Amino acid sequence: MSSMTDAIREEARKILSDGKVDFVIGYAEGDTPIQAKPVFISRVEDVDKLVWPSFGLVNLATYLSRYRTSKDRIGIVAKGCDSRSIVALLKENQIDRDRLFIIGVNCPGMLSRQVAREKAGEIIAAENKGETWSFTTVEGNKEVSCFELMPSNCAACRHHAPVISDVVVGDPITEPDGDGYDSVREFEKKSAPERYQYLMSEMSACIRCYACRQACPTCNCDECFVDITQPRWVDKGLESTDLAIWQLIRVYHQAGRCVDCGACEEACPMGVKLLWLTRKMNFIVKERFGFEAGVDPEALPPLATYEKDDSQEFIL
Amino acid sequence: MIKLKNLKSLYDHLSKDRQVIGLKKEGNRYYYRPLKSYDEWSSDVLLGNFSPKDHFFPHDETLFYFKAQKLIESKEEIKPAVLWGVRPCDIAGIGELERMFNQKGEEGYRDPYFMERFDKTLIVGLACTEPWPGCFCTSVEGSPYKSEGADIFIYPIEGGYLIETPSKKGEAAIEGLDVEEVSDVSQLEADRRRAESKIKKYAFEGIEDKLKLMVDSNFWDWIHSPCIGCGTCAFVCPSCHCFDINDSSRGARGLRSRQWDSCLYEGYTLETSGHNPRPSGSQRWRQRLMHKFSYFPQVFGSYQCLGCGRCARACPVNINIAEIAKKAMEWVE
Repeated sequence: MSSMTDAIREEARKILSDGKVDFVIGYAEGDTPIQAKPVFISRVEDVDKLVWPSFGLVNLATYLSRYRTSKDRIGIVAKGCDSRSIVALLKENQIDRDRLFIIGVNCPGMLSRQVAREKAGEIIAAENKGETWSFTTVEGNKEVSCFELMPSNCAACRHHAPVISDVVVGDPITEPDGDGYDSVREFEKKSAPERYQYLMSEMSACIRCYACRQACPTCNCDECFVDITQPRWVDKGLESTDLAIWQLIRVYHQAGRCVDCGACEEACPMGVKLLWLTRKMNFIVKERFGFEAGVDPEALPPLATYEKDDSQEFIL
Repeated sequence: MIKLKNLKSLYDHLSKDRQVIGLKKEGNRYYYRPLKSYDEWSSDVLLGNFSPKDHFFPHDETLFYFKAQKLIESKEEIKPAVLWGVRPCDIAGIGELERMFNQKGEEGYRDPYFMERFDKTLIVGLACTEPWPGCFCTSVEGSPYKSEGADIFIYPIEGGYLIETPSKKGEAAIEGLDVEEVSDVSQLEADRRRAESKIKKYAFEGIEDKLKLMVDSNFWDWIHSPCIGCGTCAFVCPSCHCFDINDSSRGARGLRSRQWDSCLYEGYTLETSGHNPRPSGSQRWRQRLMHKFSYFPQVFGSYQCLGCGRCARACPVNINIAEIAKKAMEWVE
């Protein structure tokens, strides 16, 4: 077992046996290859189910809005991005800070089952061999390095350390140079028709299972606009314009709230590249308003504040 | 039974006057799609990322158009088709859909949209010589060698294939095919046992009765916890058949269509009054497990879970319905 796993178990054991929390939300080994499973541990004797996973892109903060009005005291394992989502939720009064015990993790980055599928094909079985993963696929055996299995959001991550926590496990990580938006700048160089064609072909693969919405910690409206029938904002069905509008509006609603955790893209059963939209939006929010979601617990989110010198040349 | 050296002759024979639907790679996933030729078929893939139910029960289907008070039926022409290389779990799934959409008796519901496609489709099954990890068909009355429900069923053997025709429809379809009759098929029994031995077995016997007593159990309070409430499992499931009906209109013109739905959606049971009889995740998961392992067996006499394991593979949070059913079997109040 890794030292990270041991450290998480130790912290979870402490807060459960001290009665500080009612349960701890963390990761356990999955039942199928290259997937971790979120678990809710309420008994000290179950603490050893917790692990620090390799494929843990589920943002555990997504479960918190469920406890908006409950009295539960919750322990939660939080990567850098999860902790930013917690901050975003705290700002929106979705959860009380004093009911949370945050086991922050200095996260070196996760691996992605979506990327694994892109690199290796349909994976039947998987085995970790240190720096590489060995996959049994329908097209034979393939070996892929951990580095290659990192999703785009982890590669672009500049917030590996939790921004808010009650205890931190794992060694500090030196943040890489740059702002992490080089991929957006590259994408912007494509012509408008190229970008349109690419994004429309991605969006048209959507099957409206809403896994992206459900996996997202800040997609927590009591009633999502896409489910409202009176009036109907977006038609049901798989018409590509409806699919694109659904995705675009969902992304807009995340302005100043999306932390680029990649949970939506990882959850998608169709492998739609959702992060092109969210990351571009995050880039705009950062450039225009100097704001990054969930990084500064004190800063007001751009949609909740107004300043006279806000850039507003886009308003007609 | 008959023997064939290769499957192309059967494929060509059946595709003469039918559209063939089989597993095909698109991007980095496998779907049941119309095949242009035998070579397009991904023969080594056991399970597509989605089941073939979309062929009979499309994800988004127009029922009719309307213009003011006038109704115009959807004119989509349904052509004869061959569903090629379907595995036994998916064939069982089609059987469950048929039980639901072609109910017996005067009060029974008969879905004309499903039935037209079903009647016009020839199902060609294929035995699984190498089941995948995560398969559990043998725990839900299935088998990697079960031919029931198929019109034609293919057993791969050394140096060729044995072909069975479990239905009259299948028998008629292979008429005129140049074949070699085989009488000794004893090898299949050993092959079946070998394939079955590779599959994880759960003890689900009596689960429908056990679950009946668990309606008010505390079990449901924690079992649903990791579920994020998306529709992935229902969409990839070969037997989930719930749908939602929607109108889409511009002025007086419009259409009525139906789309797949999922009992794990919070809004699934939301009533017009605003009341939701299943407001919590625990109640929704109780419904999902009960429907598959208790209600369906009570009403139709068979599990509504076929053990393909797709839901666990596709689930964003790795929930495995077999493990949940197992925990229900072990549950003590």
